Amino acid sequence: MADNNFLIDEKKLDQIRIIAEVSAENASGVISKWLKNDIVLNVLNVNMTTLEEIGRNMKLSEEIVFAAATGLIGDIQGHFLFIFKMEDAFKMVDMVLKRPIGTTCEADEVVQSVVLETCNIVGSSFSNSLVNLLRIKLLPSAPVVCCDLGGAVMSNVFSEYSMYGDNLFFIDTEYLQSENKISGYFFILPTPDSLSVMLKSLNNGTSGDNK
Amino acid sequence: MSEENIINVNMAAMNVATPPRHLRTVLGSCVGVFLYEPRLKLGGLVHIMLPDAPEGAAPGSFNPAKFATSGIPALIDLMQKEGAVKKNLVCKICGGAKMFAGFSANSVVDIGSRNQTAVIDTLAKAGLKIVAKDVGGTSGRKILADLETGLIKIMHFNVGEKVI
Repeated sequence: MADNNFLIDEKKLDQIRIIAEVSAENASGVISKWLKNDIVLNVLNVNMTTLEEIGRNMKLSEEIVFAAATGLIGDIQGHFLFIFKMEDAFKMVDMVLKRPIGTTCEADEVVQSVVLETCNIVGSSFSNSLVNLLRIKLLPSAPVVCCDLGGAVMSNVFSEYSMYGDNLFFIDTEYLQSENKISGYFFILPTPDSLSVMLKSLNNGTSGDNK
Repeated sequence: MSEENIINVNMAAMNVATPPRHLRTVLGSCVGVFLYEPRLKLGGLVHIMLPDAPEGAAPGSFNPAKFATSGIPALIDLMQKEGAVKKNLVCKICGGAKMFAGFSANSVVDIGSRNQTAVIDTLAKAGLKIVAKDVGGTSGRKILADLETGLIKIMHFNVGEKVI
């Protein structure tokens, strides 16, 4: 049985952190262009975490969240999962529509569509960076969105991955625009086979051309 | 009711308690199986994520609470260790929703209904009858089991509340 319960050493985590940062930089550029505004996408933390810690630490489980998931096809298979708290999703809509922050206060189709598009942009940009840095083939599918209790969303998406073990790969991000801040939770969920492809490519691909 | 009397049952976890404690969890495609021994006011809740462990997985190599086929027997054992008599157990199930519409070409699609089927089959094999259920649909549930009464309050996002 393939197993996700492996030890990922600091060095590999650092390499993934570098990839995440390069990708975030690319994504910031694209997203700023889309929102016609200077948006910086920061990578706060890159970590392996367990189902239990997520349940305990994220304090998301009883909050209403917007979540979008993108399927990955190619050398790496799995999903990207983006989660935004409802008030952060509302802020994002106001940024996109250039309205004063606080204007949006209803979870409607506009919010869903903005979350979808943001995830599409960030996800595509992230996968482009992975393709360039690791020299692999990777295609993200069109994302799907839902609005529900955080715990319900996470248990839904994580259940498939939990089959292989209790560890999940997690990147904590934030979007900054002058004084406004949006926190985003971004999970990369590779299948166990894909994770070994990714880690192998890290050894071959990123040496010497990190930036 | 004070927060300290509420026990949160995490994803792929299982807990047993008595009043004044309450058991709480949030369910998406997962299924919550609640067993109650009225005589002792002893309640147990397991948060099941998947129907069955991967083929060939050795028992002990995985967390039993994660899967229906291992989680339900584990919960029954735990209840019996606390003094419950199996024939007294009252069983209720919740969850198994389909959350992402259009999550196509992926086995996640049906995980909610697959979980429901596996839970119902496993309970039948164990000889337990389901007295109440609230399953399926497209929205998540927050559930709170009152161990004084054995009733579960279910809060559906966007749908409302009900008690089973």
